[in-house]
Amino acid sequence: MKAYKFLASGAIAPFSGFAWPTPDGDRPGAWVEAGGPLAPCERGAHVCRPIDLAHWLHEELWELEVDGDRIDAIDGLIAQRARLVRRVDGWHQGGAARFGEACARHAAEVVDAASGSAGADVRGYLDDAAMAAQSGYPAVGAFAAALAVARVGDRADAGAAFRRERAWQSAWIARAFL
Amino acid sequence: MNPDLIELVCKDVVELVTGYLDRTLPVEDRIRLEQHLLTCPPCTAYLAQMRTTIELASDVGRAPTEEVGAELVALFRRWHGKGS
Repeated sequence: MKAYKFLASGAIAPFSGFAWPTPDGDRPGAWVEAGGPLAPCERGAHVCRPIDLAHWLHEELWELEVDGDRIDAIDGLIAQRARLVRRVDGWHQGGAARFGEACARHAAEVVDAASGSAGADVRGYLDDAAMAAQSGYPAVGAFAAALAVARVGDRADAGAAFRRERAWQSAWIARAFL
Repeated sequence: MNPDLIELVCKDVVELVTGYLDRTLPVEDRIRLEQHLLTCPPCTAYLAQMRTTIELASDVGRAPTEEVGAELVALFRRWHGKGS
């Protein structure tokens, strides 16, 4: 099964510091295998389905192959074993910046289309999203954009609105790169 | 933490960081915290500082080697001898 993962430069896992074995030409990297039962945040290869991508943005986007047992986790999938297949070069070669700009633009459109006037906090998040995107911080921009959308509507729907916007962002990445 | 919370703020990170480093934080909180870190360079730096502090502090409790201990005793005796 195909999956995806954002890593720091050099195929380094951002939280564990694990250096993923990288592909050699057309040959995928070595399998990385969990030694024991899968457990969220503890054991297993933590990877993204396309819908999860916007939650885990980082410097490099990789396509992986996963195999063996799998469990669904919050905003991700945990697999018994995984290996890097290819780096999605479009992401770090300007794609991340375009993504940040698209998030800021989309959030502004959603806010403009919403009935009623947006509060100062919403306008503030939109400004943050645009500024972060222009300054080379697409992850910050995407997050601020989702917060702007979450805050423009009914407060009770804020959580769902936030996740819908994150899903839109993930779909944008999938359309552009996968 | 409120499970409906969509926005984990930096103040929450300060409260949760010990549990995060001790690996005692519930999975949901751990994931929200990690997602926050990806969008917050200052909190990432704070976490790194906390890690370093804990590593350095863990060395403090270690007894000095015999050689270092003897040097410290000799220094203390010299210092005490001057002062008396």
